[in-house]
Amino acid sequence: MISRQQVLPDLDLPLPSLRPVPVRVQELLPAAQPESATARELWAAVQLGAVAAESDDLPGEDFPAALAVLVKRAASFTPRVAVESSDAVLLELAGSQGLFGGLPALLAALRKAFPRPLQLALAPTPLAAVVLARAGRNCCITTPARLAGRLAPLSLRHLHWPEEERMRLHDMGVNTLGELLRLPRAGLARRLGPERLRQLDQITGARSDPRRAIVPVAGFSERIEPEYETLQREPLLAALQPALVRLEEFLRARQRGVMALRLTLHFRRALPQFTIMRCVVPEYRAARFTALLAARLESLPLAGPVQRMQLTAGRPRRFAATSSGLWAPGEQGGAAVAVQAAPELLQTLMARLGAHAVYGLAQVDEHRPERQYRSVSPLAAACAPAAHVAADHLRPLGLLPVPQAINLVLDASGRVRQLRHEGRELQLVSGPERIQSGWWDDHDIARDYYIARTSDGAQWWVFRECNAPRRWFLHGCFA
Amino acid sequence: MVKINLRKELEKLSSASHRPPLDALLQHPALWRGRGVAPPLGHPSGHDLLDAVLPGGGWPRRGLVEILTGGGCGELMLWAPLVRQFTQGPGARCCAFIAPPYELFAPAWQARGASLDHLLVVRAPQPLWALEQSLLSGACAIGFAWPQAVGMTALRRLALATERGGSIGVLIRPLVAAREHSAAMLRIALTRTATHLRLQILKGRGLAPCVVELPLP
Repeated sequence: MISRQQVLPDLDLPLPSLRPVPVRVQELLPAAQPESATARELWAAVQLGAVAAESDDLPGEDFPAALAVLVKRAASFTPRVAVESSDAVLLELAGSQGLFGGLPALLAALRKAFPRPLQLALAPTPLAAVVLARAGRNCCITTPARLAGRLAPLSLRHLHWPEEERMRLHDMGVNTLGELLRLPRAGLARRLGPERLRQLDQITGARSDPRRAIVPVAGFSERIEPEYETLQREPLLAALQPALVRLEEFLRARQRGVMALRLTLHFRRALPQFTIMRCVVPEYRAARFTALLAARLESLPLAGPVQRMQLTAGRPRRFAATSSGLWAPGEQGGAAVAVQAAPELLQTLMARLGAHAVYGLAQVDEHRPERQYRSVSPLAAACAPAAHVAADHLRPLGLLPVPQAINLVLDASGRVRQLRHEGRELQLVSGPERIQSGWWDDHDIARDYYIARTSDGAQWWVFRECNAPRRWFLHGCFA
Repeated sequence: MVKINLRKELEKLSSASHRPPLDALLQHPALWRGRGVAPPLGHPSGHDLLDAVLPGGGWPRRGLVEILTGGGCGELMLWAPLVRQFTQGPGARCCAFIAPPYELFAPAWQARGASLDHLLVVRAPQPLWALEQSLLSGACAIGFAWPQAVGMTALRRLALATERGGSIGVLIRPLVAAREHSAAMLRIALTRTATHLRLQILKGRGLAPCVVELPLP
């Protein structure tokens, strides 16, 4: 689908004003050089090829990776780069010809930057260039007058219109662009809708086709030098403060937040050291950054006095801003605020303790106790299927990550007389409950589980291996 | 400030119960006399015998609670009904477990009705710092920690954090800590017999030391 309405997510700047095109004196004299004879714009389309064209929509906020590479490469030719329906990159080159020393030199440079199998076509209108590139016509058309003739033999499928519309046109005996363009306009508009007619006009250049240029989202990176070299956290934090305020301004202006922040510390006598702070949700407030950095710096061992620092923000991301609550937590209705405070708490904890130190729980549909749960990222709405737990079996609230061997007291004949844990005798209260098998993933178990109690009232979940050497283990705590 | 229509309340109370209306009215958490302490409204603990003893008919709404126990005596089982209450429903808040001496066994918590996505486990070398952050944030309704030694300053800080964050802090400590002073508003020594959980209430606002025995399921 080709649609002018398609607005790329990261483009939040207004339409760029048309760049001044180098105008020759002749062009100003209508009689000598009709305005339409040479294009005011020259668009090049670089098309990925058949494989990438399959995915038609732009996934999320990103271009497909292949396209992102092309966009970057295209930026060296012109500031006006656009993306057309996720399979082609458009470059406006009218203003670049002079820089590259004429059209032939520019074409050579383009071909070098976008080698085959990338399709490359130049035309006075963006849609025409895309259609030519999709058709595999690697040509350069500079005058609108020649455009219609070159487009005429192309198949309609290069327009990427919906299949049903193409089939309808096929039934009417219309298979090529030339045939389509020859149809009466009024009837065409009635049959296909004014939108299609508009697109056809844009292909031929009868109607303007403004494109939004991709503005690369600038990252934020700042070099900070403390007033003096120091090991102490407070002066470092104070030196970072203005940069963090600028970061907030930067993010606010773009209505973005960042998920990660990197702080590189440079020392006089040691290698630079860096630390990355990750946020749970996109964050933009300087106060939060300060709190996170303070927590991180406190636990970060420094290799020496810090000479300078480099603060680099991650890719700015969109975020859904939420309004803060009327009540402070703890006041009436504080619970609603508390839900919003959860990400902040997680960020604070993660900044100081590391991302792996904070986790949530999820259940796994398994029968082996040590595999019935797993750690997940905290407070993620885990929608794990409810595992099968037999309701008649009591399970401990705490499980030792690794079963702990129990001391045995043996009698003279080598039989187990007593189980002991931390100097106390364990008495079996209930059991056995057999849990076994797991041969399919090389973690075969065969265990008889018992509930055991010590003299001071503590209850433990213990098991005995069913196979030799039939050892006893402590596995859970009925806390 | 809560406005109470005294006459209406009195009529309601006198018609509903045979207690003298004034006495009944004084049970209202928003009313107190000059000398007395307003009875706080508690969270139902899920154990009727315990609710009958605790002021406000349940666990305190906010504050620091110490459970002194040898471990494995049902110290989490005691709180499981409250954890379920906090993690369920639309106003669910998370429950933090700071450096537990074991992993939380998810199926057992689920079997007790707790919603797993609101349980938060934190592994911290300084559990008290993490506990204070959790209690202070207001995001956690309740935070559990298993500290070995806690100074009076730390206890006061934690008590303050629970007040400010509107949360409950639960410290699970060894029985020997009963000898130390504490800033906790409720201290309970917990042991388990063959049939009962035995709660010896050492300290509580408006409570005389007493013993509660809860039958085990």
